[in-house]
Amino acid sequence: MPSRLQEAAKMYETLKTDFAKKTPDLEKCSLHLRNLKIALTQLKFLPSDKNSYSDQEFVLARNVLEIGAQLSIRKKDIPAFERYMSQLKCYYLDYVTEVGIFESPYKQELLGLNLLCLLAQNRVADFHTELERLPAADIQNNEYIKHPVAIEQYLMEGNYNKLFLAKGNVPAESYNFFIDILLGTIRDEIAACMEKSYKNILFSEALRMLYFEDQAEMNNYATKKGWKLESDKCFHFNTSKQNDDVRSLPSGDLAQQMIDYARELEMII
Amino acid sequence: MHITSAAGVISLLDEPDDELQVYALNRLNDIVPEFWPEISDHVEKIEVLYENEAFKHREISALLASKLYYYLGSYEDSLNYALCAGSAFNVKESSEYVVTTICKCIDHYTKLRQQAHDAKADGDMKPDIDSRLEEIVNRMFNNCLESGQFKQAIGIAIETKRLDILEKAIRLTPNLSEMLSYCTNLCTRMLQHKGLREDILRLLVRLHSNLDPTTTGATSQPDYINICQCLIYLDDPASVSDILRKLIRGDQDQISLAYQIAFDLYDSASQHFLSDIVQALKAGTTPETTTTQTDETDAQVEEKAPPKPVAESQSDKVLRDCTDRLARILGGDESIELHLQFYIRNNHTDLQILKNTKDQVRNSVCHNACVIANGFMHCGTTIDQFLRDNLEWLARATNWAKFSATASLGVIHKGHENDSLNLMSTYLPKDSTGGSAYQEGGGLYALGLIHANHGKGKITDYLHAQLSSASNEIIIHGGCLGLGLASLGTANHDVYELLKSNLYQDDAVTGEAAGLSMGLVMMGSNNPQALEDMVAYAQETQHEKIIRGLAVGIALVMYGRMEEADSLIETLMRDKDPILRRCAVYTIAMAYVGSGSNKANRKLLHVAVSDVNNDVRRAAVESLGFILFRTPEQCPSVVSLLSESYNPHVRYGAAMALGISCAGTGSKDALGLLEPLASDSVNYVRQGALIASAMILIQHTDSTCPKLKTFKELYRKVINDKHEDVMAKFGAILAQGIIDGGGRNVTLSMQSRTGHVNMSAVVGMLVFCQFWYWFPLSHFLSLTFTPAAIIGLNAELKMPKMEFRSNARPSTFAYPSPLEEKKGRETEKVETAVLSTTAKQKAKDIKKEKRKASTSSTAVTPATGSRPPTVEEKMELDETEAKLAKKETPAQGEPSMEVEQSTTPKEKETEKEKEKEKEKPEASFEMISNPCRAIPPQLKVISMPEDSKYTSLKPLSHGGIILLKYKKSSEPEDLLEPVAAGGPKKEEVEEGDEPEPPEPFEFVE
Repeated sequence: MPSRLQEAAKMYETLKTDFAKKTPDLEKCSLHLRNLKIALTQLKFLPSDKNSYSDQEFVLARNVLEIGAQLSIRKKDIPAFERYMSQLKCYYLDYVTEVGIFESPYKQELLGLNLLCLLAQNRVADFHTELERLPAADIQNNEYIKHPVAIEQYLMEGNYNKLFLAKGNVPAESYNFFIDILLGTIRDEIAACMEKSYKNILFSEALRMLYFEDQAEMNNYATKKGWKLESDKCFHFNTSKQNDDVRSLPSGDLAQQMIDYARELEMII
Repeated sequence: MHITSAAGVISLLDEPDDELQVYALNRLNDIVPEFWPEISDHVEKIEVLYENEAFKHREISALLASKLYYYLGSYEDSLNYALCAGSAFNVKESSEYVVTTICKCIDHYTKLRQQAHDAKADGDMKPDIDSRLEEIVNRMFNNCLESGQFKQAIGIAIETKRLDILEKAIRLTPNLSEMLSYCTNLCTRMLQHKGLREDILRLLVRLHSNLDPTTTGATSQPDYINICQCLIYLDDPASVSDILRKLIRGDQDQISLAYQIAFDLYDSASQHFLSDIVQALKAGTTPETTTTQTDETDAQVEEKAPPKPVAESQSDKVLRDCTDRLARILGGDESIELHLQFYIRNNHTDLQILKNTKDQVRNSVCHNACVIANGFMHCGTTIDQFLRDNLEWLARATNWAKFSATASLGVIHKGHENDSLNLMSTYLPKDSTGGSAYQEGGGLYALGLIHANHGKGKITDYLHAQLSSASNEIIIHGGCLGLGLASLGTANHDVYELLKSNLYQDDAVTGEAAGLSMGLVMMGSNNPQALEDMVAYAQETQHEKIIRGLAVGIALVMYGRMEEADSLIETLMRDKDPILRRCAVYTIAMAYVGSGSNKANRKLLHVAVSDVNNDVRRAAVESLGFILFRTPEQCPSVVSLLSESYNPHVRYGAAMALGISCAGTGSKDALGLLEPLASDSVNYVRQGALIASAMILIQHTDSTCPKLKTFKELYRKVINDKHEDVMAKFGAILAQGIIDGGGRNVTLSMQSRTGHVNMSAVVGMLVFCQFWYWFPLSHFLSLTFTPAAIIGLNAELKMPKMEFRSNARPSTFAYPSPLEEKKGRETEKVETAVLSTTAKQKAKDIKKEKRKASTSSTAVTPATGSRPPTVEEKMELDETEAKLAKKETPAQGEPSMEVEQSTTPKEKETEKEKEKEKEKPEASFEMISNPCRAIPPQLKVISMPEDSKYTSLKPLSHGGIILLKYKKSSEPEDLLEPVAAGGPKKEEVEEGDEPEPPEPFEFVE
């Protein structure tokens, strides 16, 4: 067992150096990572009982997972990131209380990232569940956590302006990836609202509302959405299309049903 | 270390690498009991993994999926995946999951096998059985066999109809013979499916006959007695006769064994079966089939003495003798003769009981009951003294009562076959007119009762002739019943046709008897022609009586046919006529008699609570008793609710069901239910409860059933109470008759000693229940009486003088002591003496007397105690203190009274002590001489004395007729002289006079 551990530790070292390079070879890293994970399964990976594991193994596994998480961000691979996170959470939240192991320097950053990741996918419920598990002090004071919490607040308030400003002061570079996704999501939201609210809208107005910096981006977005720029410099939305969804309530049937229930209730009594 | 979420592990499932996924699956398998709610969200992922053919560890994922579904409560899916898991599913694990899944597995497998079995029977396509399922079940079997749990394996093997496993399990068992008898038991008692039962029995027979000498030790001889029992179930007379033929060619022991088997066969098998064996035997051994009675006796003499020179070689001669003797045994002649001897020798009827009852009888119903009760009490003893002593009283019986009274002679002389015609001659129809039709009809019925289930040749012919020439409807009624009884279950075509022609006269009185008797003749035959005739006529006729007779008849035809009766039952059940619906109910009772079938029970219970007709409901509840009589402990719980029904008919039915199913068991539960019913507000419910309690308590003593005394007291009270209803009195009188039936030597049992359903006993019970409509039918109960006897026989089928050892205190199983004459008057006194005021007064007296007491205590009667002495005490007194007892005899009968009047508590104390002292020296065992009464609980403690000159061929605990082997062949044997019928008292009466009869009494109309 120890030999396996050493082997894995060695692999981890190479991975770490590779990954620490300025422009790491992502493919090579993921290959390393894959081998490492397999090596980990030979050790005590994600244990569920108290005995027979060592701090060393524990830390090693955690470090590997952290690199994995960061690597998947680099590779813009969200599912992989989530996988690493859910594994890491065991290490961060379950084991840490019982083991006297120093906290990982990446812990807060990754947890924050995870929150942001959830927000970016509009999984607000999951976001709050995650938040529940974090200590209140961290939520209020920690740089990494505070940021996604604030973002969530803006989002809920509909304070989209602030959101776009928040992009400027991310706590870590890796956050940008999710912020971009988030902004894209918000843009979609706004666009959907616009479709419902306006019959037509001026190009310049749309540009402003969607927080686009330049017209080219706006044009791209419009074609993606299938908006057509008419000759009057306006986007025209087809309102009739949306009305199809609105079905009339089957009020007669409902009323009838209610009356039947009432009658039956009376009979029972 | 404790994780709060399985999310981490679950996420590993999404990893692209197989290794990681496998790791995750293994981990999840470990933590699934705790995290199944979380993991179950991802069950599709796991399923996908399983479905992925390329994935190398599909079995683990199947196991995980199975566990998840198990926790989710979806057992079918769980089972399915468990099967897919193959070897990953460890049957030896003791977790809840594995245990439950294996149970489901076996259940499922059983169901499938059942379906497959049914499908095969119907000729349909067989549903496939998952080979993986079979695999798991097989693994389970192997586990059982490896760990020595053979009985479990056998149980499941039978359940799943896996005969291969069954055979394997039996072969592997260390104690083979025990296991074989266990299996036989299982088969005959538990198994309800006829076809399967036959398959298993055939297997058992094969195993029995191949008993490997190396495993069983010295006794390499197959267990013929058990084989023959199996063969009876298989209805295979040919094999039985082969065995018998083989045995009688052997040495003396084997010949004795053959006789023993023959006796057992007569006890258990149907007439049809027996006659087939006899035919096969005769055809196989002797060229000339006719041997006369004289030959028979000659042969017996010869066997003992050195053989005379005869024409044929000696071995042939011996062979022929044996065959003849076997034929006689199988024909029942020997058994009936022996039982008759037993009854006569051991008669313990207490005429005083009858006398007391007689004095209380005020009306015709009770009179009738008293005559019937007399019949029961003297059933088979041939003692008709009571009737002769009370001719004048008897003459009060008129019309049908006279019919019944005459028929009761048949009950008394049951089995007294040699002289039956002589005996009954006065009552039988004569050419010259003038006899009373009721008397003559009763006489014919009596003949039938004497020859019940054993009326070959002469008697059937005689009855046949009488019936065809009779013109009076009452004589025909008696004739029909008699003929039906005599040719019970023979399916004799001539007899059937004659009865049918009587039925078609469309006369109510004739038709009723004819319809019933047609059923008796065709009993258990499932003859389609007969059924069609009977059902069609029942639907056509206007006479309710005829339909009633036919209803019972139809039920009898379906006796023991189980599933084959289902379609008929369905049709009848839908009939408008309540009597035919009742017929359907009886048909269920007969077809599934003793099977304990759940299906039948369910149907009956449904009818019992849903039919609109009271008679049908009553019959349905009664019928439960027939279905359950093999498992009497079940019946009380089944009918306990019904016994509290608002409907008195249902309550009556519940009482009778208890009586029928628990007959002779003394079941405490049953008596507990009957007690309140015996004081029910409705008269006929009380009647039923009284009769049922007697049926349960028959052949019990105070020590085997403490309730006995209360009930006996109750019967007397009901009979003596002037204000009691006639119906209840009728019940109480019959109850007294039943409880002391057959000279206190019979018990009620619908199964033979070997556990076969006793056909004639079942008929007797069913028809007895019809006394509700027709009192004379109550005589049928005599068919259900079976002797509680051990009769030892030597190789020449004679009763030798010898003794059995009963390893219990003699008092435990003693006969009740006889009543004393002045009983009635004195019990009244007792009642007044117990009043509380007198008690107080007495307390004062006691104080006064105390002083005197010490001096006078020596004069005290020894036969008294503070409580009325139990039978045992009295009995034991009789034995140990014969002298004293003789002096005090007058006091013995009415002890309670004596107590109250002449003894003070102080004296009582000393008395008690005295008695205790006497109790101690009482022997812990008792020697009882052959032939002896041995009531069922006593059989367990009976053994052969060590110094006996005989050894028994089969365990004594079976009871009945047992062949003995004489150990000291050098000394001559001491034999018992046969006693003349009519009772030992009249030994001076010559044999020729014997049937000397109750005839002189003439009925005065």
